[in-house]
Amino acid sequence: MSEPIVIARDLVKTYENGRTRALDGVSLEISQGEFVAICGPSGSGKSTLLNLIGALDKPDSGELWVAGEDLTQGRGDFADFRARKVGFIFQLHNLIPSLTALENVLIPTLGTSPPAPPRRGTSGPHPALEGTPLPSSQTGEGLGVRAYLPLREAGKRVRSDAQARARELLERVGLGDKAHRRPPELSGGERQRVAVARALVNDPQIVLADEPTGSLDSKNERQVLDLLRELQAERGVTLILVTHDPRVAQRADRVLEIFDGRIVAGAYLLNGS
Amino acid sequence: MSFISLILKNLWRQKIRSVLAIAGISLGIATIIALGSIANGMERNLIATLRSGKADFSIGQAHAPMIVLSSVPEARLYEIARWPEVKQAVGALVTFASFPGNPYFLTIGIEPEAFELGGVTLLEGRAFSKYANDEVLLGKIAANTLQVKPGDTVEIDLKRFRVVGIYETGNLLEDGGALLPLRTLQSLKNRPSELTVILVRVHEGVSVEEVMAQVEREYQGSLITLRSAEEFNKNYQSLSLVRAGSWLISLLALVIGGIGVMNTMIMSVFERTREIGILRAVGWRRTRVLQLILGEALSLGMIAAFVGTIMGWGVARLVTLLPQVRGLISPAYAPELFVHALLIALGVGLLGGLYPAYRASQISPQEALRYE
Ligand SMILES: Nc1ncnc2c1ncn2[C@@H]1O[C@H](COP(=O)(O)OP(=O)(O)OP(=O)(O)O)[C@@H](O)[C@H]1O
Ligand SMILES: [Mg+2]
Repeated sequence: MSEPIVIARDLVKTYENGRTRALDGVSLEISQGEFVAICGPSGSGKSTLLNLIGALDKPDSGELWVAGEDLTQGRGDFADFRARKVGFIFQLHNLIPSLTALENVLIPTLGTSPPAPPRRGTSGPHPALEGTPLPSSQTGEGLGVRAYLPLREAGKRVRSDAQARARELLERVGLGDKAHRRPPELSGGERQRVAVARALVNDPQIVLADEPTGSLDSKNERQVLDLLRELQAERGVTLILVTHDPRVAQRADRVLEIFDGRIVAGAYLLNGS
Repeated sequence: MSFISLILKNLWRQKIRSVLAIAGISLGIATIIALGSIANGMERNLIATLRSGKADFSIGQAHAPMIVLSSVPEARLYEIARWPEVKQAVGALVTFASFPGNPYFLTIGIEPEAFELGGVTLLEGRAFSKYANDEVLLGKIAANTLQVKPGDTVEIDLKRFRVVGIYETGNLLEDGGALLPLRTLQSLKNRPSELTVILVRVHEGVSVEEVMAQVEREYQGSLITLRSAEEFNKNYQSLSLVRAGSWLISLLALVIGGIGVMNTMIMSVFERTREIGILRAVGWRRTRVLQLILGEALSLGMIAAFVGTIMGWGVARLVTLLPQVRGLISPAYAPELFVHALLIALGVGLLGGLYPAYRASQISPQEALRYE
């Protein structure tokens, strides 16, 4: 298997001034491209763990590296990390009801200006700038205004880029013909598929799903799980899915069991298995 | 979809709330535009009063809040008239009098010899005689509105006058008013030996500037000289009561509008706590959330500026159609007035949006997502 994309050592997270110990020394590793289910009873700390991996919250102590970034360090709140590296899928109420499916999928691309972060693996120029070599006389190179003209152009390009990506993803999740419907006009399963498309629009390395099928009937549950599985394989993303349903957990490569804030099984991939 | 269209969609989503907030701010803006343009128009007319004739310059009271409130002792007229450089100097008393259907009727007390210097042209009838205490000349517009001809009688400040002629000066306000013999108006208003302005014409070859400077030196602190409408503006504008009132209304609009926007935006942020949490979860920075909410508040202000300007313009137009003020008011839409209104609207948006936007930016995604 490839490099670990998540490395946690002795993670502790408490709430209410230490009275609630949500995570009590969690250590684990997750490899790139893996599909891991986090399983456990209610209140065991599943969501807390997922939120730490997704940088929605900071651990009290311990070490946490995700996609090459140390999430225990730095002053920032990791908004850019979330925009670039992770995609979230939640159980409920997670779409903006007044926006169409397509607009909802586009929301993560509006978080920065110019919109949309670079694609994975490109550390060079912004992808939108590729193929726009402007003559230096036009860019004003050497006058300190070099970035200005391309950035404005890039804004527009990135926007139409994002639009295309969002449409493609909606097609992929089988909602190409419902792109202009609003969430109240979609079924629960369809809404969750819009959320899947939204999680993938910025091309993340990791998708974090907190009970994504918790409010669906079994038919829709199967459909959404099939879709997640397929997309995970197609795109090579790491999928970490929280559930308390053993049937859902069965679909994963590995099941990580958590109880009272401690991992009781599946923390590490056994060599050769 | 762009960021701007997301902002507008968010406002559209809460139509009633947005419309109410916009209506509130627009009313303030409309008041500022309507009052401001009417005040500007009145002032412009007052300023131009008695400036269309052949006088080289005029003299008024220093520090008077408005030209009609200027008071100059008549003795000054006789002193200045004796200066060798001065060819002719005449005085006029400018006041408002009550007239059937119009409590603010412009009346000017002036001697017939001063007509030329004041730019008065007789259209019909004859001039009044210097000491006639029952003769009046009506302006063209006033005569037209009241359907009065020479030979008819009118009532000014409850006293009957015989209309002996119709005149024109080309100034809207003056042509909507009346001329009376100076002495008659002074006694009618109980202001003996008092003038509002002195009009001066100098001998040929004499420098107007030098004579003006001499007046200012001689009567330093009590009299000022004025040559153009702009100078009147400079001297009377900042002290004008109407303007002070307009500033007060602007301030009120700012505070009331700001509170309205703040209330609207705080409610809207509170209701969208979970949604904002999701924005943060999918990678929006705090500053981006701040921009979103502030953008919504500023958009409310901008839309209100637009709506309020049109409303204010309409109201000012309607006011000019009222029979009581016809001829007295012609609104003047100075560009500064619109800039002023736009700044107030943006100020309202900023004032009302800043705190809710800050609150929104501080929402923790982890907690917001637990919130049902
Ligand atoms: N923001 C918070 N403030 C206070 N306590 C919290 C907070 N978040 C989580 N907790 C507490 O931490 C513990 C673990 O919560 P967590 O949400 O991770 O459980 P979970 O395994 O996801 O449960 P469920 O299956 O019910 O979603 C619980 O006791 C919970 O009440
Ligand atoms: Mg949970």
